[in-house]
Amino acid sequence: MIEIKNVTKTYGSKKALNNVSFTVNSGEIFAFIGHNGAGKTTLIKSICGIIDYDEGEIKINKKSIKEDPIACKKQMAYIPDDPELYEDMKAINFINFVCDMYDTPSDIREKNIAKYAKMFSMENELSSVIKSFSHGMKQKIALISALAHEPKILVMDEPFVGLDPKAIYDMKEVMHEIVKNSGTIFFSTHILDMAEKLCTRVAIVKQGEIVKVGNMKKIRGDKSLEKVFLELEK
Amino acid sequence: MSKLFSLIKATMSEGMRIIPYKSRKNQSRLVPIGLALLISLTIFMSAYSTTMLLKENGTQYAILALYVLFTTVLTIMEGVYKSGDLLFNCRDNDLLLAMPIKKSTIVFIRILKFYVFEMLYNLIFLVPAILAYALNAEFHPSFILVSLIMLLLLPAIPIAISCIIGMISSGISARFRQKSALQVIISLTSLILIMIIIVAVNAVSDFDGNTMEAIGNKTAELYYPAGAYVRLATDFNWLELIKFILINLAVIAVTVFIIGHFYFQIVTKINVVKRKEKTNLNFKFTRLSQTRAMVKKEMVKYFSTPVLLTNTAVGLVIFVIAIGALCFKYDDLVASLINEEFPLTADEIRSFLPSVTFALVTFTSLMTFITTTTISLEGKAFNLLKSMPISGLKVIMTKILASMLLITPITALGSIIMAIRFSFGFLEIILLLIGVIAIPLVTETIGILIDLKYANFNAESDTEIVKQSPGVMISSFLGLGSTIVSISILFASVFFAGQIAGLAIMDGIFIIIFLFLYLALATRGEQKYLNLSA
Repeated sequence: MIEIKNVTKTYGSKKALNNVSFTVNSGEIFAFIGHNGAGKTTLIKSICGIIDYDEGEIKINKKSIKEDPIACKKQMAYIPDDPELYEDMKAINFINFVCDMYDTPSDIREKNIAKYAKMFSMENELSSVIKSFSHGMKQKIALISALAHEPKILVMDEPFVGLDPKAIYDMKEVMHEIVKNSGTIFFSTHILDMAEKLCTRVAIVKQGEIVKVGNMKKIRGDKSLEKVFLELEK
Repeated sequence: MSKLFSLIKATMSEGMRIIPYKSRKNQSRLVPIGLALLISLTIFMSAYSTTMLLKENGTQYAILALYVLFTTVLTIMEGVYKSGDLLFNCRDNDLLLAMPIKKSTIVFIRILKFYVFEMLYNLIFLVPAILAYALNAEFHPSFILVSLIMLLLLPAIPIAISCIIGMISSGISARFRQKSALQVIISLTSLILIMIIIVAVNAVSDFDGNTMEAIGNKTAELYYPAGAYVRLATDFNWLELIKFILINLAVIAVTVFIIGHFYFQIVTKINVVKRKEKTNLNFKFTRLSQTRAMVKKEMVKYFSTPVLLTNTAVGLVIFVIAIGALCFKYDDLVASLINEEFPLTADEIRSFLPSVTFALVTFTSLMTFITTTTISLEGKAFNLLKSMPISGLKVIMTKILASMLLITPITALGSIIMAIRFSFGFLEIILLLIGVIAIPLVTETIGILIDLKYANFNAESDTEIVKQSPGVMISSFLGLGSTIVSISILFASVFFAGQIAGLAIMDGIFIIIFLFLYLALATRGEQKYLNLSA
């Protein structure tokens, strides 16, 4: 579960996040949507402890990311929008490195790497150096490394960008599997159709403020999510 | 023209931030500027005293030739192993190649950026020499104009030479799978060749009378820009000045033309990394602790970044050569020292060898700042690292540990070889080994503190981070200054308090400095780490 209470983050005079509050429950796929520069990446980075926020509180399964960052991060996996990984490492060494950081037992990583590498059609590429990969392949390696240590919470920034159709389908399957096991998924996206079909709940952010949050049916009403979003943007 | 200006502005605003697009209030420039001024002051004092000596023979002009030679050699040695990456391995290659601009324009802006940096760097050495000359010689007002033009154009020939060598090195290495290793070998070979040429020229030159004057005259005779500067400073001539300007501009134009011709070919090959397809999923899943995994990651980065490896290996290579020379050519070295009326006897020289070894360890460790770039080299992956369950202090300490593992085995082995060869006492060996650990601990901690302060995650290439960032400039100046100060304190302590006490004092100083630095790292350093994001 991710609890966000009155979070504010300022860059100079600009408020990137203004009094943002909502909760993402266990077993939920939660989408965070907004235009470019609305504050999506800032919130995601704050949740993952990459940047500090000025006011408010972020709790990961009841623990504060500010007070106990290591315990919070142990339960999470972060997938960035731009998969700049350690380019000089072989893919398998990178995934192993991530597993080492999360102290993942050998048998679990072995099982998961084999499973997800096969799922994302990367099993033949694991011996290659990451810098030889395309954007989509790097994204797949980021996904495999994130899933290999079995996180309870998956935080993703634009996770579908650069993935091929099969990988997108597989990714959606993985997301359903995680929430079925009481995991939590929080991701930002611009692909509104995807959010509409995939998510339990959604939050719409505009200029750092949450303008709507709730379950998909409540937010959408009779309209499409795209229509609701565009009306709010006016 | 406006297109070219926009391109120059955009390029200069990245990485080096020569022309900032927007103000960066947090980027303090006071420290690098202050250090540069301090080095300039030291250079000025040295140049001034040399000019005073030259004044006795009325040959003050030789100081200009001497410093032109010094900056030329420095620029070539610096440029040889960074020019390849600065020209061909930039992150914005694809962006610029997609734009409707000529390849020679891209090459021109790459060379211009390199040129501006080297020109600014050369100012630190050339301005004090020019001032020392001006204060000791009667000069025509035209000397000011000539000197300004010299400051602008002197980097042209050394930069052209380094760019051509860089192009050949990149062109060759781009054809092979092990590009990085090959680039390191070519860069180090070029550097060693340049050193051999300098030593050979020095050996065959028949210097007589005042050595400085002789070197100055020889430089002016052999190296056109130095000769032109001396002639223009002592006897101004418009034709000579115009000839000098045209020759330098022509050199740059020809360099741009040649590199522009091969640019696309090299860039296309340099970015191709062959993939190994392997269907076998039976990998070894060795579980490592966070510390070991981080150290392993740092080692991979170190050995796959040719410019970082070459940059930091120079000090270690000099150490190995010095230890080898002392071990195998000791008798010849002592004999030549005694022939030159060295104030110590052969027995006294031998008794000071533990201090000499300590001085070599000090030099190597203080000139090898590996950590100064390790945070910046994380690039955008820094965010991923920060999202992992590992504390900032642990990340920082593993970076220091990885650097220590690269430096200390070599310095420790060298010290042990010296200890065995020259039968050092037990206490001397222990004190020496404490120094082997304590000194790099200090430099690497300073290095990481500097990188935390000046971290740059948006550089165009790794070379820009390793060779042209404010942090690296600070650590170079600090290394140079602290080497001189430390070795002076070492020999002063040894002469006044004896060898054991002298070595113990040095160890004590470095341990105390490290403890203070560790405190700074654990408090402000970690906070700084937490505030950083790519």
